[in-house]
Amino acid sequence: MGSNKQEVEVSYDVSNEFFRLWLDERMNYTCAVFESEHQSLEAAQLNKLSILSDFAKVTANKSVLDIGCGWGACLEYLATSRSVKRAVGVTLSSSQAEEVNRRKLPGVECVESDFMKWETTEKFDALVSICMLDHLCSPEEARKGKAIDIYRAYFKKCHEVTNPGAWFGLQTILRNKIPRIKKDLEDIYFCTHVIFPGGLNPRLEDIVQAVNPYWEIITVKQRRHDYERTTAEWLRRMRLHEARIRQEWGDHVFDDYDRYLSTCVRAFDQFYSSLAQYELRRLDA
Amino acid sequence: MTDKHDLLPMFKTVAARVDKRSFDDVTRASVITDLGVDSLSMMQIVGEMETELSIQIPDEDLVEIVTVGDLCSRVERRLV
Ligand SMILES: C[S@@+](CC[C@H](N)C(=O)[O-])C[C@H]1O[C@@H](n2cnc3c(N)ncnc32)[C@H](O)[C@@H]1O
Repeated sequence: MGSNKQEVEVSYDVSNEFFRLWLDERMNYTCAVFESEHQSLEAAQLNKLSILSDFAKVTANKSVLDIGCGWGACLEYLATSRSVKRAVGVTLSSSQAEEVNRRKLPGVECVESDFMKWETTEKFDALVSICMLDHLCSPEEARKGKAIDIYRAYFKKCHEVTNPGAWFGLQTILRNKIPRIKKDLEDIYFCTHVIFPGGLNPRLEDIVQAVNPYWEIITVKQRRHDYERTTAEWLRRMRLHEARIRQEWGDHVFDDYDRYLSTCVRAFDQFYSSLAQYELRRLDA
Repeated sequence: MTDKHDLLPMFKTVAARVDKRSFDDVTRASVITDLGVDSLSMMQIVGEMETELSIQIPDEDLVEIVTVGDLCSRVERRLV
């Protein structure tokens, strides 16, 4: 497997307070979609959730599963803005699961589990999964040619936990061109090994191959510049709190996250990386 | 193949510039990792050859490169 529990906790358990300083108020830790030049990060995050919920054909009476739910921004959006009666989230991180359940959102339940091993008899009508797939395959596994099999197992599991007629709003980071500049390679290597250990982003063609024979791709939207803008905004906000971060969490936390976010901005600009959103329809037997 | 398309001399010059040492004794059969060239330097060498020749090599051509000859022939293939 890609990132295990310890590795995921390296990425998300620095401290909820730390992330609260620079993410939007609902703590979406993924790409937002900006509708205009002046839109705020908060509004752009809601816009992203609305796009993915539309891809998943969410309505109030459908049960929705959010795979890799983070701090629950999407679950909260589903319960409040879309009046969804039952929304379940799965996350590998215990601090995220505690945080979501503490909020006691109506109809919302958060499970701490590895989705790939999660045992449930419940079937959902709609799926959302925002940048969780990026954790599934490690660089070593990709080198051994296992990426497609790993992603396909994920899409199979998604098929198993859904009812016929289900739709899926999926978002993933993508890797594209390998940098030809040593410093850029070192920075990306640092992000993959220090900030997000265990995971390697998929290539678009990996996803296209792996969805078969479980899901049909209806729409793909590339959002590379939206992620460039999102990470630039995170970096700007984080730098406003430099003194406090250095004092409370240490110089290495500030320096590592400064390097990580700066690398992201450059990687999306240079098309080393990209981001895609997919509208998927379940292939029913 | 004409000399014009033998990229070994260019590889030697670019590698020497990137790794700041001599690559004069290198042949097409030399194994890149045996030369002490890591994957980061190799990508930089590829990038500089691409720029000098005004070509773009797709990333999938760059996997499974073992020898200097493997690298040169992948670049040469883009020149015809
Ligand atoms: C980049 S975060 C995104 C969180 C959230 N979807 C958002 O948009 O903010 C990735 C999430 O995937 C979860 N995750 C990674 N691997 C997982 C696995 N095997 N099973 C369940 N959750 C996983 C992490 O715990 C984390 O919550």
